[in-house]
Parts: sequence; structure tokens; C-alpha cells
Amino acid sequence: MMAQTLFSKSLLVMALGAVVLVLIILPPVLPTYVVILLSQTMVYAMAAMSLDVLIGYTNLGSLGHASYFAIGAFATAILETRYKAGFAVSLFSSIGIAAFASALIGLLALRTTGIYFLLITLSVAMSIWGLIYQWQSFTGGDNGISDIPRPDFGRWININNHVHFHYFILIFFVLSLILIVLLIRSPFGKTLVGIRDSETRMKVLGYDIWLHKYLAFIIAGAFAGLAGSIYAYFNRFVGPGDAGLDQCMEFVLMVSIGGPGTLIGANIGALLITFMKNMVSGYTHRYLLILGIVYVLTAKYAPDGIMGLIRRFGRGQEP
Amino acid sequence: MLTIEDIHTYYGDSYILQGISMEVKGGQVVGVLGRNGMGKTTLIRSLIGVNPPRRGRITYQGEELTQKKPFQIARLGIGIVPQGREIFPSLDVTENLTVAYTMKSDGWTLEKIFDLFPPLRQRVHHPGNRLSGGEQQMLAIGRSLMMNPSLLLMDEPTEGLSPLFVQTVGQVIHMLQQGGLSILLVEQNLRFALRHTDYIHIMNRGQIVHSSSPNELDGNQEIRQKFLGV
Repeated sequence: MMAQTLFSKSLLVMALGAVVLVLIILPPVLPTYVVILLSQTMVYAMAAMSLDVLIGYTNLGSLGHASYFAIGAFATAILETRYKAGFAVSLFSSIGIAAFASALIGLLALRTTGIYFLLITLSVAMSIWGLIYQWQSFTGGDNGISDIPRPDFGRWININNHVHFHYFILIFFVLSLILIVLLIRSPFGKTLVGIRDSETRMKVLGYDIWLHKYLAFIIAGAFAGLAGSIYAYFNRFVGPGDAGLDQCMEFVLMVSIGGPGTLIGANIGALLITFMKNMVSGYTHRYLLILGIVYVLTAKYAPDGIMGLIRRFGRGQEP
Repeated sequence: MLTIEDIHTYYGDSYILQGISMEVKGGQVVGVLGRNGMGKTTLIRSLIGVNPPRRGRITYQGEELTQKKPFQIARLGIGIVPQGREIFPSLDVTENLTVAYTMKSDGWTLEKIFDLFPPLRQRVHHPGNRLSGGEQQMLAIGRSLMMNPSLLLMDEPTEGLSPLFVQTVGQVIHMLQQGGLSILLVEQNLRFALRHTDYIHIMNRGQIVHSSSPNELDGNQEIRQKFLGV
């Protein structure tokens, strides 16, 4: 609704067209490197969008979202490598386990708000990272779990072909996007926005805001688990780094740099950070420094992220 | 209907409400006057459960409110028109109104609210933050009515409004009272309170220092001068 008033129709169509072009039409002819980066972007975008539901729509600054991503990834990794569970079982189990974890952690974290919530989610995330790191017999510790087999769909699809796997990920990406958009537009989603605007206001109007925040937290965790599961198949390796502080911050930055509360922003942020990370790594090991500088600049000059800049720019251009 | 028995409310260590007792009977409009900082808004916050009293009791239609959560209190039928309107800036007029809709047979509906406040009908899709102060006040009142409450807490509804809108708010209060709604009206505008309430309390430094009918207060210049500076 808001987007239609901000951008001209032709601009929207062009942007959509560009996305369709890059994600659907071009992959068979793009360089392998680019296709793999696009696939990686989509996986991270799924997790970033779910975090945007928390940060941008409910005003819950969760610094530990990578936990659920990693739980989903490790669940799939363990189920596939050790128990040969197969795609459906692994995928749904990963979503379920991640949702369950967020249900447990939410009970603890949602006793607080604001900066304390930030601290608790971060602390829990570090505990989970530590657990993954130490529990070598279960998670492989520092070595992680490798050689995760990709799902087998028969002769017609070579799932080990990076282009085919790109389309495989695309299906889940589009599915997540549609589901999250439906969530945001539903009465439940609007309530979250009301909570973001003012918790007190919503309380006195008769809304049980704790319950709404809790459900949002679990749903976000479930989507992160889904992203993690797909990531495990994509990367074919999972390690404690996927639950670490770097990953937690990256997700937050994807949302912040792209523009919180827009959903599109999370995708832009995922694209920017994924490509920047991989390209910068070719020139320097100091990727984190660059990322930090980008974040400081964003916080200072564009607190509403790229979408905020576009909005401001668009407004300036109106007659 | 609403009985407040000797409540004491604190903000941390600050002792704000120092033993407040009053009641609002069915169909009554009870006014609470006082200067800034005397505890009027804290009273409302205690009633709605956002700042519960540490001592004392609040009962509403027989049920004890004192330890209930705000959303539970709201669902019992207590609506609030907060100080400063508190419109949702991200939502438009229709969304602001429907966000708290509680259906009641023969009760308030979106259409009836638009009948009550015609300017809102003309601005149905305007975002909340693009309305004038008077329109926002109408929207805030409309929103609380959409909960179909039996008791309405109004915190300084005429603050910052033009004389025309002040008049409108007065007419609305009168109409609501005719319809059987009980209202607790916190105000700084003495004339407005004298005209639209059945009974008035004056608060000073967290205590009630005067209670009487509006007529009595109108005739008592000494009290008015001392506690309201009018």
C-alpha cells in the first residue's frame, strides 16, 4: 500500500522486471560465480526477512537470530548425514526444531524489552554458539558437518548443477516471501505494527501484546530455521560460524542497511552484504572492518536504510 | 460502577497518588481537575493498569481491577482517550478506528462513528499523522467508542483544541452520557468541566482537596483560586 504511493508504477514494474530477469531468466547464462552468489543471497534474504518481521514490524531488536538459522542448518545436516532422513523429514524437522527453540528462548527473552532484550538474545546466541563449538560428538565442533547430500529428485533434475539448485532455492525464497507478506498484511501483522508504534496504546485497547510478540518471535524463528535448512543443502557444510556473532550481526545489518520495516529492504541488504562480502574478500581480509564502516555510515546518514533513502529521494522528485 | 478506595501509586520511589478515593456511578460524568503535575494522568494510568497502585483497591462493577493487566481491564469495558490523542501514525482513519473494534449488538460501529464525526468520513484514508489536532481528538474518541465501553476515561480531551472543537467534544460527551455511558473526565479547562460534569474533584499534590457539584465549585472562588489559579 505504501509502496504504491511512493513510487511511480513504471518504476515498480521496472524493478520487478529486473528482479525476474536476474533471478529467473538469466541464471543459465550468467557466470557460475554470480549464480552461486544469487543463490546464497536468497538463502540469507529468507532469514533477513524473518528478522525484519521482528526488528522492523514489531520493534524487537533480536541480536541472536542466527541461532535459529544455525539450529535449522545443523538439524538438516545431522539428519541427512547421520540418519539419511531425506529431504522432507529434514526440512520440516529443521523448521520445527528452530520454532521450538525460539518458543523456549522467547519465554525468557520476552520478559524484557529494548536493550535488555537485545542483550538476552545476544547472550543466548553466544551460548548456543558455544554449545555447537564444544559438543564435538554431536555437531562436529570446530570441524562442523560436511558432505551434506543434496536432495535427490530423480533423473530429470541434476540437483548438483548450480543452476538447477538455484531454481530449487528460488521456489523456497518465493514461498517465504509470499508467506511473510501475507503475515504482514494480516490483522496479526497490523497488530505488530501497532505494537511497534506504541505498546501502551495497544495494551489499553485490549491487545495481549506479550502473546503477539511471542508468536512473532516463534514465526520468525521458524522461517530462520527454514533458511538454515536450505543453507545446509546449498553450502553442503555447516559449522559453528553459522551461529556466531558475525552471522548474528550480518543479519541485523542486512535489515538495517536495507531499511527496517519494508521487507524489500531485507532483500536489498542481503544482496548488498552477500556480494560485498564475497567481492571484498578478494582484496582484503578486513571484510568486517569495511562492513563496520558501512554500518556506521548507514546509522549516521541513512538510519532508515536504503529504502529510507529511496523514499526521501522519491519525495524530493515529486512536483 | 467504578469505586476507587484509598489508592497509593508510585513511580519508583516518587510518591504520586497519596490516598485517592472516589467513585463513578452508572451514567455519571465525574470530573477531576487540577494543575499540571498533580497526579491526574497518574490516576488514569492506575485505573487502566499501566501503573498499578501499590496500596488500595479499584473495583469495577464488582470486579477487582487492582492487579489486572491493562488488556484485561480494557476487555472488561473500560475505554481510554489518552492525553495527547495517541493516534497510530502508520494507520489511516479507518484502520485507527477498526483496530480496537469490539462488536456489541446495537453498539458503536464504523458507520455510527462517522455519523458522529462527519469530518472523519471525509478523511477515511488519510494517515493518522496528517490530521489536525481536532480531527485527531475525534479519531481518538471514536476509537475508544469502537471498543463499546461502559466506562470512558478521558484525559484532557480539550487540550490544544480550537474553541469550535472544544464545543464539539462537549456535545459528544453530553450525547454519550445520554446514551448511558459513564465518564471520568480529567481536565484543566475549568469552564468545560463545570459545564459538562455531574460532580467534580480537585486534586492537589496527589490528594483530593475538594469534592462538590459543579455549581458549588462555581460559587466558591476561594477554592478555585487556591487550587486552580482561576
